[in-house]
Amino acid sequence: MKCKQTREVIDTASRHTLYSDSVTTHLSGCPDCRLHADGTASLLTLLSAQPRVEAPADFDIKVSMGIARAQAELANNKTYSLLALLKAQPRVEAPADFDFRLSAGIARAQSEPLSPAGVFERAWEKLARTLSFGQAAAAMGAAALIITASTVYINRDNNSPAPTTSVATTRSADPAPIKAESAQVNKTSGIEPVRMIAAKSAAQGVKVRPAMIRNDEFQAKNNSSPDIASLERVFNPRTRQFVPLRRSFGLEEASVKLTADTPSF
Amino acid sequence: MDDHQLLAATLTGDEAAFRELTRRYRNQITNYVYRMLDDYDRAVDLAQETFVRVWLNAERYQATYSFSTYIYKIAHNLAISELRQRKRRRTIPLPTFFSDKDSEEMEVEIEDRKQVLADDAMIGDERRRAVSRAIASLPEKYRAALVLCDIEERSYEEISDVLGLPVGTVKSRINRARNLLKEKLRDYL
Repeated sequence: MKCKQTREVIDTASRHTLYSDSVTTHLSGCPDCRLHADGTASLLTLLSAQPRVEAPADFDIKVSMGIARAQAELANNKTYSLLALLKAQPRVEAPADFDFRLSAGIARAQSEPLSPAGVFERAWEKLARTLSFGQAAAAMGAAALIITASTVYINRDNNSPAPTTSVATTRSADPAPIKAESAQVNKTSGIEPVRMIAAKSAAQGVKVRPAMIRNDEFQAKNNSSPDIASLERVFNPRTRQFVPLRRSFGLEEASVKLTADTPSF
Repeated sequence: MDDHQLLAATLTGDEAAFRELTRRYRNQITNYVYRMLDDYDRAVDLAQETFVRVWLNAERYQATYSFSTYIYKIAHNLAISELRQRKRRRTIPLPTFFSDKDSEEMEVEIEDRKQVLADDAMIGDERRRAVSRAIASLPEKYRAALVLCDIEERSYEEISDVLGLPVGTVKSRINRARNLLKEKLRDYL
């Protein structure tokens, strides 16, 4: 036996272990291993000579007190109390004639003719047994998609605004529509008044110089709606004169067609 | 009655059976925890806590382990938990108190070295104190294996169960602990 193997045996031996013959033989011929063995034996003797501390005399009493305290804490614990209550609930058992009632119920169900609802229910159960959960979910998703698409398609025709080519039709002879139009312009303050005028005149084939009407003037016109027509003047190329707006568009219908370039109101 | 029978009787509420279990193991557990903590008062507290847990969790005991393994495991876990708490708090072991022969006067002795005077009452010579200090100075993992093996004289298999380690690791730790002690106690060997 080699020194390494011998020392492994010595190191893992307990105090009461007796060495084998091979170890003893090696130790008798190897001073180093013998020294190692002696050192280990001395250490084990020292350790075994260590006095053992003992529990105090009132150990049992303190353990009893500790148990009582722990049980009191557990009793005060609401979760523990709840669990104890639930655990203490009596278990309900099936009656003695449970099997008889079950057999009777099955027989009655088999003898009864199926109503239309029962047929549908049976078909549904059969379908549910046939399809897996994933397949059923996919089928439901597809059905929901079809219903949604149909609803959107139907509502599209009902709710969408009619595509009209005429946006505004006014009779300039009647002052009331002009007021209403002015009020509309006020609501859409982001629209340039000059362009509005130009759009109105486009249907008449009249060129209007937008610079002739200033924004501040337009604002003033909006504030005093009864005189709005009398203040507006546009250039008429036929007569080569500035004419009041009312005279220019009087008795005629102005129809403005929406084009891609026309700003939407 | 063996330990299993006593514990079974304890489960039925037999307090006498539990007292018998306590009597059998109180000194062993107190000694083991004391060697781990090097603090007698705290060791007694944790030994008592060990028995309280045995009582409260008697239903969970599985007979695959011996009862001694079971109770040493509880005590070991408590001791390790205490050592970790000490590390976190960086506490110094409490100064040790002991009563003089006259119970009315309490003599307080604070030593600069880590030791417990309850030990001094029993141990008279320097060698024993040196061994005690050397054990206490070992790293926890080596200390537990060494104390269980060489002081409590538990088998490798039982130590393996208590520490939750393979037997090979237990042997390695014991060997390492012994070599460390040999270095520390060179003058006494």
